[in-house]
Amino acid sequence: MLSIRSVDKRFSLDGPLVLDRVNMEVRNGEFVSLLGPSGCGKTTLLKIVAGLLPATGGGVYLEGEESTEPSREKAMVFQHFNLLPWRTAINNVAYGLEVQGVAKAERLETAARFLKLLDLDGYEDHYPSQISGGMKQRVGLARALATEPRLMLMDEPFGALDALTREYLQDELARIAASQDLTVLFVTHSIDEAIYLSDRIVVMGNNPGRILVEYPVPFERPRVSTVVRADPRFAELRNQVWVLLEEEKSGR
Amino acid sequence: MARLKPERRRAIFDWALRIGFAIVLLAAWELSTRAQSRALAAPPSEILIAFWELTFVEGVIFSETLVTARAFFMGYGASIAIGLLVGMLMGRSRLAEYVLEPYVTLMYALPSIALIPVLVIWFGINDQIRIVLVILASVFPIIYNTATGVKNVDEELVEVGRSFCATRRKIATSIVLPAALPLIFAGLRIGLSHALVGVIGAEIIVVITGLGGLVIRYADNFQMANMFVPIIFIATLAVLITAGMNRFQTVFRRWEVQDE
Repeated sequence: MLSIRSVDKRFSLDGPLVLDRVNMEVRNGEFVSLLGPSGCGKTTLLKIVAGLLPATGGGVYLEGEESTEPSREKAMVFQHFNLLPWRTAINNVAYGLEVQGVAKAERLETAARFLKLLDLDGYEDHYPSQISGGMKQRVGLARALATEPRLMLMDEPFGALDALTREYLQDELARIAASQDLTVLFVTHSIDEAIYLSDRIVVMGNNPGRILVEYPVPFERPRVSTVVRADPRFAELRNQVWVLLEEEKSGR
Repeated sequence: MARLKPERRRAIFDWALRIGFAIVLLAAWELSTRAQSRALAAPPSEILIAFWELTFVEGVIFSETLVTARAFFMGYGASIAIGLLVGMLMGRSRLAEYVLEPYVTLMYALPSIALIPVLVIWFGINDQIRIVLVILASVFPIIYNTATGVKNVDEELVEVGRSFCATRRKIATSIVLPAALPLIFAGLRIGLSHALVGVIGAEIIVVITGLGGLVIRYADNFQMANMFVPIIFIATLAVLITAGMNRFQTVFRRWEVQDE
């Protein structure tokens, strides 16, 4: 459904090439991770897909149609949550619907339903400053889900969380992705996270940012974290990716 | 008296100290002014009598308070409207900021009463001059702080609006404005105190009406006790308006409360 064709990016006319002819696809219902060292342009690529940044060359296509602007089909989950601090949890979740002009009663009802989906019932009227980081990102997830997008774009959503909360939310996301049949493009720099969550991993390299290789992830769903991590194929895939990233680092 | 908790005893001590100090101050004032000429100073006891006379017997003070308050609110209200609009424009448009910034900085720094002579030449000795001066005194801190607040809004929050396809107008009202609110309120508070100086300054120096006008009229007639009455009203008005502003601000900034 999502097709990224030959996307280039420079931040200024004579600036360095940040993305170099990036080509990739995400099929309906697929969970794809973009994995790479910091500075490889994976967040830039995600923002181009979201329509938040313009590409210098090439294009982004949704179901064959060029998609250069933000649209209702796409929703974004941010690394630093980006909740509106003056809105309560439920009003944050309802924000996207409010922008789309959904009537108040209906959007609050929908928001409450998605808060419940993320185990946040009872926290509707809490402000972001009153809840933990993990809960904030669950609100961020609910906000993106509430507009029922066809494509979820997630920019290192668990990067700012502690290890335990992170694993807990990974399970939560895996469960929701399966139950809501989500199509996800997920940016991370954690190899383990990419393997555990994805159907496919796209590994990016630095200077200029480009796609090095893609790996299919062999595990059946639903996955159980402890089982996946104990599987020898997990260690093997993890090692392969790690060696690739190390070579990329020392190659320069 | 039964045993009191230490913090309670402490509070009573603090209050006693505060009231005691006030009594000493008033007593010193009373004693030092008793023997003075009434044209130069008035003891607090006589000010109290004058207060009663002017407020409850003659009643002139209320109508003059109304005159001052009306000019203040009209000018300050206009300043808020103009200041928010221009400030938003400067905060969102690099070009507007580049062109307007020198004038805003200059006019912000300039004490507004320096403009009184030129206003008199242009507008004559006219009641409206007060409103003009209030605007000139208070609009620039509001513009400056609004522009700074809007310019420094976290771009990541704006991206939230953009990612949901919000229009520019919706982003301005639902993200930029609330995010800039802390600095906007700082501008409103600075503008408020400048506006009070502007209205009273214009009344004392030019129009000779309102509470400021009463102060200068009583002073010109060497009625020192009477002169302090409008001053007390000016202080009260200023305290009430400032308290109202703080109240207004807490309503808008409930979300900053950190705990339950």
